Amino acid sequence: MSRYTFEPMPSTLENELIEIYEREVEKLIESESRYQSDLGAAEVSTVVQAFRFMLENGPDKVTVQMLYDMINDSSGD
Amino acid sequence: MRLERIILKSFGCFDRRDFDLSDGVNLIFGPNFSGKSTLVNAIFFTLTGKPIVPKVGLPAMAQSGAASGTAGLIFHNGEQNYQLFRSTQGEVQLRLKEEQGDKWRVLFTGKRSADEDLRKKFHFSYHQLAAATFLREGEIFEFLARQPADRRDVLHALLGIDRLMDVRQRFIDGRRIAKREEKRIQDHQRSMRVTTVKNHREEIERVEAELKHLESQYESLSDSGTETGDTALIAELRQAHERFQKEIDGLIQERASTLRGFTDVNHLRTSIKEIEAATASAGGLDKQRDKLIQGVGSLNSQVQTLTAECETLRQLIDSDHGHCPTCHQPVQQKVIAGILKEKESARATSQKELDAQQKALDEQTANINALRGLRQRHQLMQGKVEQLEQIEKRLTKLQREFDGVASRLGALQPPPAPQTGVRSDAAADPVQVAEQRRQLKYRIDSLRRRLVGLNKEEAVLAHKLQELQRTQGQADQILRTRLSFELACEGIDKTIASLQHTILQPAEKEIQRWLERMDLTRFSQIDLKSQHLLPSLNVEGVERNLLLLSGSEKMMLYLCFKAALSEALGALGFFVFDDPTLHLDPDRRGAMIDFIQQLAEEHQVIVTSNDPEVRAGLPDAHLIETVPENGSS
Repeated sequence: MSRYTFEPMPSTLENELIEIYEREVEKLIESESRYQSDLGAAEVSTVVQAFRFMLENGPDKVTVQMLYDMINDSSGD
Repeated sequence: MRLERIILKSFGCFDRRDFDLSDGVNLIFGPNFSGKSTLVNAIFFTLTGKPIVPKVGLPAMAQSGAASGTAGLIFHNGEQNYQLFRSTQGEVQLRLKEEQGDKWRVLFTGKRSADEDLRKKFHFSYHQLAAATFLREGEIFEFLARQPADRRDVLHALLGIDRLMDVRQRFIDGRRIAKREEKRIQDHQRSMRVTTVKNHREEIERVEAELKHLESQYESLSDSGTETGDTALIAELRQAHERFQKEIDGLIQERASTLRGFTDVNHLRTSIKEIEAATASAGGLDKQRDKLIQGVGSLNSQVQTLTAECETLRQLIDSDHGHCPTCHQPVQQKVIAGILKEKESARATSQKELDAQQKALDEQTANINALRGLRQRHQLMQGKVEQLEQIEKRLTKLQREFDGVASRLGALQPPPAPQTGVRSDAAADPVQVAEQRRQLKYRIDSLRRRLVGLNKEEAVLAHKLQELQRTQGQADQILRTRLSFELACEGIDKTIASLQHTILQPAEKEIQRWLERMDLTRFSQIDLKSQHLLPSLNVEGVERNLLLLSGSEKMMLYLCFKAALSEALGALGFFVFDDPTLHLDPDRRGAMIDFIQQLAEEHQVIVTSNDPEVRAGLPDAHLIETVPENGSS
């Protein structure tokens, strides 16, 4: 854990960060064969959504179980 | 964001003061202890809620003797004017100037919770202000003294990487759950592995075919059965008939054995009556024998006594002296001879009587023994009679049942077969048909039970297969979940790398641009990443970092670094430098003044100094003069 207290990120930077993240995730799914075979656009969307949810609410408010349910439910669709 | 006024109340060395600020350069000028750094601290504190110098408590920022101090800013952001106040007790209030008139509307008042709204509203963070917007006195030396890990933490905080690391950790935890779940499902799948599905299906088909065949046979046997169609009953009755016959034969044999020596039971009963009569008439035999025994005993004593007396008398007669050997009296021979004769006569009579009595006793004893034998025989015969009566009863009952079976059998027996024509085997022998049918029925029942068992097992297998398919679905889902978590984690790693690249690379270029504007072209190839924000650069072909430069070069490069970093992170529109020319030689001081003026072309710059050359070098700056104790502008 960082010794610095958590500070909410300014929303413009946050949006920029989410864009970067989405771009990186898309690049990964296109380049990595292990993701290509089993994951699709729906999973990418869920992962980015989970990332955004974590950034907006902060890790302290989002439990691992919430995160797991969010991604697992999407994987079952 | 453009700062317009600093408002202080009981803050630092100030009682109640307002300081107007303008665009471009604002020079806070005054001697030591006049409150220049307090103004820098007031701006920082108002925006972040923290003192610019670490480890200083909030109450310490209030004016000496005051319970609380307040610092405030009026600033312009976007198209709006705001007032932001913060007390050393941690209270925050943000006001917005109404479009009509001079009224201020309170947007929020609070403590810690207000900071989040504040930061989100104006898009700045503590680390951004501390690292890129403000220069506090002595900061460069602290920066250079930082350990790489500390600088990395600063970099992470500045770029929001620490937050990304926290998010990444959550994704790692999620992946751990997914892995655990994946293992659980795999174990479950292994436990349900089915290998004999095909064999069961084939076995069921085989049994069904055989069953069909046997049922067909059974039906055909039923069609070719007796007229009454009850051959099975006939067979059963015959079996009962045979059983009864055997039992009857056994009883007759037992009866013959019991009657051995007698013609029939009546003969036996007659004999019993005779024995009873004989024993009844011999009732006094025991008493008679007792009397005879007494008589024999008495006579025997009498004979012995007489024999002894005769012997004594003979001895007297045979005596030579003619005297009694006992009393020595003279003995009269003739008298004694007479007595002897009488005695011998009496003895002979008694002996005869004894013999007669003895004979009678022997006869009586024999009679008594014979009577005992008769009584035993009587008991035996009596038992036989009872036994025979039982046998007769059972025989009668068996005979009745036997007759009944025989009668039913007679009624069920098929009519005599025609003498001509061909008969099937079954028609020829209904019992054999019944036996065949019974065997077929047994086989059919057995196969049916086997089929039920196989179908049950098949149902279980089908359920298992269904469960396997369902579990496979779960396994596919959990695989996607785990891969999603791995993608999420790897995405964050890539994002961190990208973020560093996205922010640090433009910052490096921006530093290079500033250095060129300041004619410091001997520095090239700036690198902020390899040493975690500590600028590393190529100085005339030699790799060096900020630590190895001269004091003035350090400060110049450090301010360029701040300006570049601020630009890369999203410039706030203002800079606050506390005495940036400290320790600079005149040439470097001039370069620094140039730098400030160039920076002020695009941003508002607030600078403190007590150096008259700086004041002279910034003639167009908005001047804020401070004096010790009662500061004034």
